[in-house]
Amino acid sequence: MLQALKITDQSHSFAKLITKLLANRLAGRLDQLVSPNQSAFIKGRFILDNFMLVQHTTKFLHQQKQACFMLKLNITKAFDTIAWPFLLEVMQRLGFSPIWRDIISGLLATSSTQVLLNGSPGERIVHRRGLRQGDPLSPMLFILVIDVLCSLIKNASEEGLLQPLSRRNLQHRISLYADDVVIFLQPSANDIRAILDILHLFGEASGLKTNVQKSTVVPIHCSEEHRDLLQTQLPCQTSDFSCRYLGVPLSPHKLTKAQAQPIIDRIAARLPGWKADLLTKSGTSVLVQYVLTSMLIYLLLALDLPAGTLQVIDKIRRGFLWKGRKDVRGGHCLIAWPKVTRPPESGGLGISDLQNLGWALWLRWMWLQKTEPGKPWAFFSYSSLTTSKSLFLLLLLLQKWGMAKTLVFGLTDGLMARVYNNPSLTCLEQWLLEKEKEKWLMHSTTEDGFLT
Amino acid sequence: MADALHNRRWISDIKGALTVQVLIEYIHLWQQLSNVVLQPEVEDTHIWQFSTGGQYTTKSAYEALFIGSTQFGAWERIWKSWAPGKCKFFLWTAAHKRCWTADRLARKGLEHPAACPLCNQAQETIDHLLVSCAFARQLWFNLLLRFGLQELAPNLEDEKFDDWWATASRRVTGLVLRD
Repeated sequence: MLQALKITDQSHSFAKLITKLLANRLAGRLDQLVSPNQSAFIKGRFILDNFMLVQHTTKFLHQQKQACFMLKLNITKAFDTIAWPFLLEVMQRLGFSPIWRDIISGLLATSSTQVLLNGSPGERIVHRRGLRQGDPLSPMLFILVIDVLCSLIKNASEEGLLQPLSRRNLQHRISLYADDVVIFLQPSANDIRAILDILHLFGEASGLKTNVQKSTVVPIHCSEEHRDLLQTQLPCQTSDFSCRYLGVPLSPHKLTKAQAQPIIDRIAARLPGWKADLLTKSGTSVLVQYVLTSMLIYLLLALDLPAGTLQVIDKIRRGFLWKGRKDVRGGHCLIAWPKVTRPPESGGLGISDLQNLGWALWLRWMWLQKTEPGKPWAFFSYSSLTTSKSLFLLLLLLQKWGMAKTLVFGLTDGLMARVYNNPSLTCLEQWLLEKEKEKWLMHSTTEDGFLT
Repeated sequence: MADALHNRRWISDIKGALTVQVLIEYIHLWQQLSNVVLQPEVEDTHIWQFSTGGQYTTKSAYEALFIGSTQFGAWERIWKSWAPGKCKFFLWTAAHKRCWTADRLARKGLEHPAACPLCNQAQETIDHLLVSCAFARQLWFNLLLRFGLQELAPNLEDEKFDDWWATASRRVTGLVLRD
């Protein structure tokens, strides 16, 4: 019965002071303690780092035509089942001082629960495991514990218990976002047994038990034999692409219009709730920009949405702006949509243009790859991160600088010298100088006819 | 970087066919590179040109994509004012001449009044309705009289709303400051 109850913040004021103090101290150091595949609760890391890692790994394995599978784990009651001795042991190994560990064990041991029944609190239930809810320190301790799973898997691959995924070895085969764990594996009986053993071992030691029945297997390039093997060895649900990871559709291919349909439906579903007849035009324009468009930012960061989908979304946005409903005839729209989506300085309403917004958001990944090479996905080659749209964007921006595009693509180091001459170095130009993508650039530029 | 500049090694990295265009650009680049002086102690860094801090921001990249698009003269007057949103929106459509006045109705072949229903003197256009109509001029005069700014009210020469508004708003700052 207790499982069904919602637990709210229960720390008393003194414990709150201490945990906040500890949490503030720990937050700064967490980046060094936790492996780069974990991006939850750490300053400077970003949820989509994990998505990028998983997506590019899937893409890469798919291109390699390598039979493997993706295992999405489901950990039961993750927060409430952590074993205290394990946590303290992990902290000791990580080099936390005895004072730290004493305080933590004190905090954990003094926690208790009372069930409020008909307004009167019942008997005190003393905790024996699990972290406090609503405590700023708990998430951090949790990722310290789950990071052990990451190291276990890493060690297992190094020891040869888990076969490497491809000839070109991938740096990471596991991605964690809090308790959202994804592991890439080979479909062999040995590997499956090894991973189940590892999960079992980890579950017994830390209390974080994996619910294998609720976990999902996604095969990549698996033959019928492999699929049978997976089905017999792993009592998981099997699903195919596109599945969802961290709220974003995940697939080795570009999303099709049909796969992107749920995104459109979600946007269209917002409209009926708003009383558009009672709103002024300026009111609807605010809703369009700050609700309908903002809903998309997370997805646009991660995905290259098909142009057709963007058009349909534009149609919804346009319809709501002028008429307050989904579909609208041209005559109802006083000003052409491309004009509306310009910035106010150029005569628009400042509603974002989805195409341009997508480019600008995508460029961010390219910037991060250059400036923060420690990101887990950053080792994927430039060309797999770049799409034709970012190439187009580069061209566009370079043109705006007055750069000569023929030479931009013809030169490598010479440009760098030019950049150096200019006190404001341009990262875009530097990217273009990369040797690794030279071949790729040549390929796509000749396609566009810039060099020939 | 230093590698590339040494003995003009960058030239050998040029790829692709040599057309006249490429040669011209090449000569330009040659000239620019000839007076480059490297500072050996400075590390190469990435700087994003479009934002002030040199750090990439999506906003700056998005805005950069609109560099060079046409300027809309009235944007500051409309959007930086304290007017309620619906007034700003109306002024925006008026500035784009997209309100359903008689001239626009006529162009689409829809039912429309032959002349301005207020003054019955001229065809109803957005400029007529906002400045050149006798009633509009009277309204502006009465309105501005209250603030002692009646000399700003449109007179017979003012025909375009945009022009009148631009001059009036330029003059109003001077007038208000003078008092």
